[in-house]
Amino acid sequence: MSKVWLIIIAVAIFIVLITTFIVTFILFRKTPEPKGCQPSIDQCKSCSIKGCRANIYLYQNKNIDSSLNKDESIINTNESINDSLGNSSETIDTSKQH
Amino acid sequence: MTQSAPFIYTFLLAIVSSMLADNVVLNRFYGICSFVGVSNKVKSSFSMGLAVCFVTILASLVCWPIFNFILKPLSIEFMDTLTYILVIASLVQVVGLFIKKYSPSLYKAFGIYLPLITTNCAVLGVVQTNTDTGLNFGLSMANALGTSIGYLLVMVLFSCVRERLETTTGNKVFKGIPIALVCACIMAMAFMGFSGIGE
Repeated sequence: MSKVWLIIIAVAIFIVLITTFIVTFILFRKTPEPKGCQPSIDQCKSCSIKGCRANIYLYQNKNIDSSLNKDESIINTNESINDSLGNSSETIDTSKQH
Repeated sequence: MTQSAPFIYTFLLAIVSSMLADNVVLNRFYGICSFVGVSNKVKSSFSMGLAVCFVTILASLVCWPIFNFILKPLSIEFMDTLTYILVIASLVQVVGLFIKKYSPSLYKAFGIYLPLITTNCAVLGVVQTNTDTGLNFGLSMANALGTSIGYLLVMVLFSCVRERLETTTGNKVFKGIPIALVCACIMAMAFMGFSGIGE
């Protein structure tokens, strides 16, 4: 067999193996995590590898926490505005009484 | 019976010698990263050892026919390392996929250690040794079995030592990794006592 054919076969085998790996990787990623099997986040806080499965959860939770904090702050500001409006209306009412 | 007896003897001898005399961690220095990194607790090191056992045997089972029936007849043996890396990585993904889907309890037990096996050079080292030394299928399986049991044994022993070391009060300079490395050195010397067992 000539060298050219050997190289072509080697490249074909390489492509097949790479494709197999990519397909299995995608299938693994797409399979949902079983309940209660999420990795513990506390152990991974010091790790700097952002592509790790555990750290992805950590960042997702951080984003959820920050969005929750934002919502809470919006609710608090709305409440404070309502309170201030209520107080001002009271003052207005009292002024009317006077 | 007369023909099978020597093979069984060779098979068992190969298992014992690759487990003790030619230990993968303490003699060949493969898989040192997981040996030091995951041996803090007995439970985690046992999980890691079991996962490595499973993947090593499976990788040897798959890679030996690939080398002898595809790469060797086509005269493309130079592709062996690349092929083994990709086969091991794919195997780990497939095993992880099945465990994730059909056995959540096992998936929980393995945890983060299953994807870590892809980067464990002990698995690649065993598969490469099997083909480089020209072992037949039975002996390569014996080598894989013995090596992986040896890895599990050393991991559990070393984690027991490290757990004991955590409770001791010693010099602060040696606390943690330094004393662990000293212990690994002493363990390696102890395992040298098994040398010559397979000769």
